[in-house]
Amino acid sequence: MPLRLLNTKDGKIYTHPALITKFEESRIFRSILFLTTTRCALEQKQYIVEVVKPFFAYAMLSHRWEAQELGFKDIPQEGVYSSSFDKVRNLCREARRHNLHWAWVDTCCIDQTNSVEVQKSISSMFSWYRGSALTIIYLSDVVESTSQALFLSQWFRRGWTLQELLAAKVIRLYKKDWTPFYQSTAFNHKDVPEILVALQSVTGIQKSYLKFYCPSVEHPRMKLRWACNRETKEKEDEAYCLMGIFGINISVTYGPYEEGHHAFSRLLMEIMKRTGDATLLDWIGDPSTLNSCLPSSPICFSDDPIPMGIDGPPPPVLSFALAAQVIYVFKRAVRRARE
Amino acid sequence: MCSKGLFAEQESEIFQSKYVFVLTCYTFSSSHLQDGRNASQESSHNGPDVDSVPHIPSATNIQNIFSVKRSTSFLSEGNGIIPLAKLLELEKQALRPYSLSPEIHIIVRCFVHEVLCLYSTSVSGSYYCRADGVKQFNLDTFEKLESFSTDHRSPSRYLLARIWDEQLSYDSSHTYAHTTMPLFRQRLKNPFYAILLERCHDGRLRRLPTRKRIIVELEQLPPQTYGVRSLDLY
Repeated sequence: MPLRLLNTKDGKIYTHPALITKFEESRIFRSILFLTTTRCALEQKQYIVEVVKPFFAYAMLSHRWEAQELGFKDIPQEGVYSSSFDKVRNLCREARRHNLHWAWVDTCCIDQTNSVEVQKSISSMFSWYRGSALTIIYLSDVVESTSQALFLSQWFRRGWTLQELLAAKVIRLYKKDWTPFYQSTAFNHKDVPEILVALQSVTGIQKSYLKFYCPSVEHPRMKLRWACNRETKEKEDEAYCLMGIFGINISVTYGPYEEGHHAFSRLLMEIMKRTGDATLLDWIGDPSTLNSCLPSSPICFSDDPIPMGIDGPPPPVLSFALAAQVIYVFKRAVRRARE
Repeated sequence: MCSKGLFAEQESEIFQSKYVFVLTCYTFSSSHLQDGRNASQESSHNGPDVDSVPHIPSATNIQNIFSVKRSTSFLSEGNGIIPLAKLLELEKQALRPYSLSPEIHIIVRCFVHEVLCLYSTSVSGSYYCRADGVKQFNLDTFEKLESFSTDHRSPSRYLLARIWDEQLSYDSSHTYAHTTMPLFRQRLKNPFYAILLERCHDGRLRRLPTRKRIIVELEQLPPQTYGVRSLDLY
């Protein structure tokens, strides 16, 4: 669960202790207390799971950062509803419309001035999106519900959004005016075949991965290729935004030019330690400053992988029976020639 | 005193012989590594089919085609001797007893081909190359290379390396317990992706960055001596 969440009713930000206090003030909590005296243990447990889980269910926002964003320290005392930032307000409204009490957005739910918090957030981001009840994908540059508009959206060119798309189990795509990209009865847009096909063609990621992605170091080159045309604001983020996809953790540090390049090398070495995939060395472009064998960026993996000659049946070979027959015929021919 | 001295002398001789033995072993293993052949390749010589099979690393070694390690060895200048007079001078500069190199070494297991000749084309950064046992190939690099041609005796400045991939020995048909040798050799004959390595002055190997993939093909089915070596890249 994220470190901080926005309450979709009052628009205020809550830390974990404040969330618990809020829960203890709720009617649900009082009903649970009442149940402990009236129902058996098993019924209590089932009921608690049924009511507590929805109470803490939250929506995550996946978006592209604009020039002006509402920061953690910019949130007004009265909550985000009194701010002038439409994106956060609309997120909370949309989450509330779907009966979610909590919402999260990286612009104002992370204190960007606190490096420890930033590190912890980056390391946990994949699991937060995975644990969300809904991930709202806001396409700020899409005005029409067409595949072409989707294809041109900058949301698909950003590094972090790859992880957000794969991690989220339930997504809904929204256009610039906050209307759903696809008008359908299906709540989860990952259940809409047309959208899955469009997402596959835009991202180059197979539908099965889009719908049921499981973090692992398997097929590393394919996953690095997913990221090769995506950009991040910080060079280091080229590596950090892939940690969740590979299910690995490396230390999160930001620094001068060298560190930016080293982060991706560190990620690759961590993958190399866990897998013996030869295709990781199949890249073109600039090498890392750490080792000539390591590439400097995911863009080095933009080429299609080369099949290693894993082919069909083996080429025809002379069987023992056939060889014996050939020798027999040959010997007879020699004998005849001598006679 | 005398017997003790004799004993000490004998002990010293034993120690010396042991020392020589260890040193020989070390030298052997060092030259062995420099030659690029790993232990697994040697062990394959003991196998019954030594004359008919390409050398493949043992199962335990092929699980990872590369290993990553941080170098803790001395820096390059550490190979030379610093004379006493120089040491006195260096004392003022606080010569440390050790130094750690930030370099990452990656040991890559690969088939190796000596580059025999390299000459530039009319396109900048583009070269024609010939390597031992492979067909002529093109190279597109960011670096400016000097054209050269060498005979087979002396090692050239460049090596063409085909990285070992365990899929090469993978049995896709599931019919056989192991991939058959004819199929394995046929797979090795197929065009493959290679990397070009440069031998640096200190004997270390560096991968040359390229603009395009190097695609190479063996001239014929791999010979008996074809085998995987372990190369330490930095």
